[in-house]
Amino acid sequence: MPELYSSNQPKEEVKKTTKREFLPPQSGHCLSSLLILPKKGVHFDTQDPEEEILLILRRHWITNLPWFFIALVLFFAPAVLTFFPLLASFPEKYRFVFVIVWYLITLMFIFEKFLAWLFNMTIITDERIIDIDFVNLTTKKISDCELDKIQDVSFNNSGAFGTIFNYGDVTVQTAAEIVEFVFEDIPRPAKVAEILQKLRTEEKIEALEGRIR
Amino acid sequence: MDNIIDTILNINIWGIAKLFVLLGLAVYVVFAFIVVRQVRLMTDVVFGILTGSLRLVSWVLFLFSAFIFLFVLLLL
Repeated sequence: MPELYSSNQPKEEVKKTTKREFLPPQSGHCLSSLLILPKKGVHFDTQDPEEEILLILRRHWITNLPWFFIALVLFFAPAVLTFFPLLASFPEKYRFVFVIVWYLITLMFIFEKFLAWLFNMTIITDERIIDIDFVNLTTKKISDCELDKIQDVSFNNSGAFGTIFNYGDVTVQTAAEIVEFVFEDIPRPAKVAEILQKLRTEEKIEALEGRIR
Repeated sequence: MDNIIDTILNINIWGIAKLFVLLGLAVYVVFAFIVVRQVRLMTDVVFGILTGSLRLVSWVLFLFSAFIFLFVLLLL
């Protein structure tokens, strides 16, 4: 049968979007401890094409203070040491090299600590939780758990800083291979726990309605 | 016996110090290269978070440490 009409325009793919009233509005930037609905450019290597990142969590920025103070001390130490001539017996060029090496070590210390903070993160998508840990220079550990496998979500704020800056641990008990996920020192733990519980409910409703991907 | 004592007394202590400094810096250069690889690995796992800047910083650190190694080799 002859074809009467055919459109040359490719069919536009309609992406299903679920409106989630319980999610706070989009906020945060790439250095935030709590990134809500990050921009489209952010993705991870095992992400499905239809999977949407809802939250990116990392330790609260205040937890960086201890290494930040150490870095400050390391930075000013050569200047302070000029008052205590420990290296006075060394030739001038050796003293100069000592200062250069000192600052090289300081720079690497700062960069490593920053990387450890930036990339040890938890990603919550509309399908699962992904916990990314870079244990040391050569070891990475990535665990994930589907939202419908979540059994229990609890949280705690502890310590003076935790109470003042509103950060704490969220513990997720699951029926998956890894039975417990602990997100340490994350900001707004109560809100994150609530979002996780609502996402779990949403996922279970989808499963009942047969809409699960 | 006198030869041994003479040899010990004639050891250039600053030559040994230079050797150790260069050895330490060589280890640092290797470490900086591992960091370059590590940053590459991290930014491949999670893409879009300061990817370009972090890769640039890691390469700058590596090249700077290699430059310092050569500089110290010539200076000491």
